[in-house]
Amino acid sequence: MIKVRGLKKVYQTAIALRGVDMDISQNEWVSIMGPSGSGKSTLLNIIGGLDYPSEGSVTIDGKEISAMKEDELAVFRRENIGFVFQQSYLIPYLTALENVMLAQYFHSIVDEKEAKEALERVGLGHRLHHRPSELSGGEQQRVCIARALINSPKLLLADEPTGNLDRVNTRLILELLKDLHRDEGFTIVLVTHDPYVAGWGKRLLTMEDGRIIKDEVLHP
Amino acid sequence: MRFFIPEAFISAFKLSLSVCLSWLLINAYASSIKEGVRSQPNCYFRHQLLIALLFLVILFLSGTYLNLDAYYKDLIRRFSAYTFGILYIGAVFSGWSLKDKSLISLSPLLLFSPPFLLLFLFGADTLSLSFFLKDLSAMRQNYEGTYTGALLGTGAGALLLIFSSRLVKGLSLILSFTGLLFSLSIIKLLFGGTGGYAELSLIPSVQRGLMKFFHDFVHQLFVFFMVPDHPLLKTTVWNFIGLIFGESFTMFVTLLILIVPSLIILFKILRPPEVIPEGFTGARKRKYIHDFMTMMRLKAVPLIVFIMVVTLLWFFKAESGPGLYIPQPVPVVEDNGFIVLNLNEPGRSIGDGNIHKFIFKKEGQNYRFFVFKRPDGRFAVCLDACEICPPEGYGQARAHLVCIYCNTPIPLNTVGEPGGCNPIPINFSLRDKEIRIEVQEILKKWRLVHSGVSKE
Repeated sequence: MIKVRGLKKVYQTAIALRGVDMDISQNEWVSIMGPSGSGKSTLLNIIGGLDYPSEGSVTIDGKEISAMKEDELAVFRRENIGFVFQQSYLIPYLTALENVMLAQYFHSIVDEKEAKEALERVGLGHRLHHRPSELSGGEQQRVCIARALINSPKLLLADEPTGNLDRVNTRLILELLKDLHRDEGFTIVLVTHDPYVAGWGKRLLTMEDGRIIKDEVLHP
Repeated sequence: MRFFIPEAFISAFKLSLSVCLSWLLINAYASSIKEGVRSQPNCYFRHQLLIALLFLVILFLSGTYLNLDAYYKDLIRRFSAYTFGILYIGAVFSGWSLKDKSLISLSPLLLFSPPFLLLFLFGADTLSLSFFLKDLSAMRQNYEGTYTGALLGTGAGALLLIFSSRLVKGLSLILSFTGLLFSLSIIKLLFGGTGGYAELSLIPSVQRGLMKFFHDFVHQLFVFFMVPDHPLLKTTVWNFIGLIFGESFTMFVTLLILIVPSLIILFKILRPPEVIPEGFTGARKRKYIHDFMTMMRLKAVPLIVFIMVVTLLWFFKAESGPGLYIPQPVPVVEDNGFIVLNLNEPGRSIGDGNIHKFIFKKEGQNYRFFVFKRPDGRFAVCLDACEICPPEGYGQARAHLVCIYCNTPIPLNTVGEPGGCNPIPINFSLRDKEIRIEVQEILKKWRLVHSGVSKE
């Protein structure tokens, strides 16, 4: 599903990626680990079409997204990729339901019933009309997952999705991702520095200094 | 003898070019609809297009070979209006009868636009061209040269048409582009055609027909149900009633008639699809509906533009109309049983196209009449009164005389004809630039005037 070839990213003062090659199959759950500054998030951003590489290519489902223009990329992201970040980035003055419906709106049209069902699936059926400030960190992250998956993406990219959560909530979120991954069959690429979180994936890539130094299968 | 007259060539070529452009754009738009669903509408589309083209040929030939006076021109206008009416009803029914709100929903537009555009915009031009060629051939005393030139011009246009139709296949691949072109063509054609159909076209005929219908219906109804001197039948009441068969009201009704098919189509296409392909659920279903609606909104743009342009044009046209011209009656005296009026007196020309009112007193009774030179050049002398309303008289609007009492519009070229709300005509003779009217004729005709109280 994802093909990364010779990927390099050079910033003005630093080199974030020094030539990354990897393949990720459909329905895989791949964790990427590494110390701070190893290039994990940069790699994820480029795979997600949020950033362009300095060199190399990223191909998703046969489409080379690194060669796409901004507009094409925006359409591709909207229709194929879901994002979950460490920060929730929910709109503070919209309710949980409205935040999910906003993602529907930017994709196509809104469907309140479908948005409600999505929130019920992440266990927030009783929190539909609460604003982010009235939700706990774990609940906010579950809204983000509902928002990320509402448009049925083929690929879910998660950058430290449990970074701000305690162990109980971390487990809740990961259980939820596991169930959805099993039921919906989308591909997950999850970036973390926490070995516990990384251990939930089927495969683990370890990065250091802009390169993948280890590629191991955790749960065959 | 020259066998080629450039003016004839240019005029015919220009008209052919206009037809070409319309054909190209409409056909490109039709072709842009997917192959599977367009076969049936396209069948009707071609039939109606053929009918419209046939009609244009008839118009052209009738203008060329017949020595048409105003009566026949009016007859052609009426015939055009009825043809338009039939096509219109057909388009409305075909719009309503469509069950599936899928891509086929556009067929009413396709059914309606070719005859509509051709008849509305090119009907008048075609007739004008035939008149022009006739005049040109008479002026140059060269019938063959004029028509050869015109034939060559049309041929050049037809050649363009052939090339255009080949180009269509390529254009139809780019739906948004053709949609845009279609919008532009409607704007262009509407603006280009406005002058044409203001002078000689279907809309004034429809409007006039409506005015007449409303007027006759209301008048007969009131006369039938109420005694003529009923207190309700006073000037102010008639003025209110008159609004519904006046120019403004019928203009709105005409507008409505023109816009209704477009509104029906808009109503039909700006709705979500009723049938969603099997297996489309969740985000995929929403995406399908969104894409469908976006496409339909794009397709609705030409219609919305059309409605806006027609409405704006007619509002501007309505606003530019002047008020009523009501001259003071000039006193005249009897001379050996006759009233004699000079056509040209210092400071006054009776034949200037305005109504000229006169007043004549006999045995304590005032008799008002007017003289009017119609747009077709004929003089009419009438009493300033009709057989139905109290004798308040008439005022002159741009294209009509208007009864001051009941607001009935009288087309200028029918002034002098007897009956109904027309001013009662008086026999007269026109000799040596003098109009002679027998006094007994005025007295005799005045007996026909409605005897109701004219002033409140």
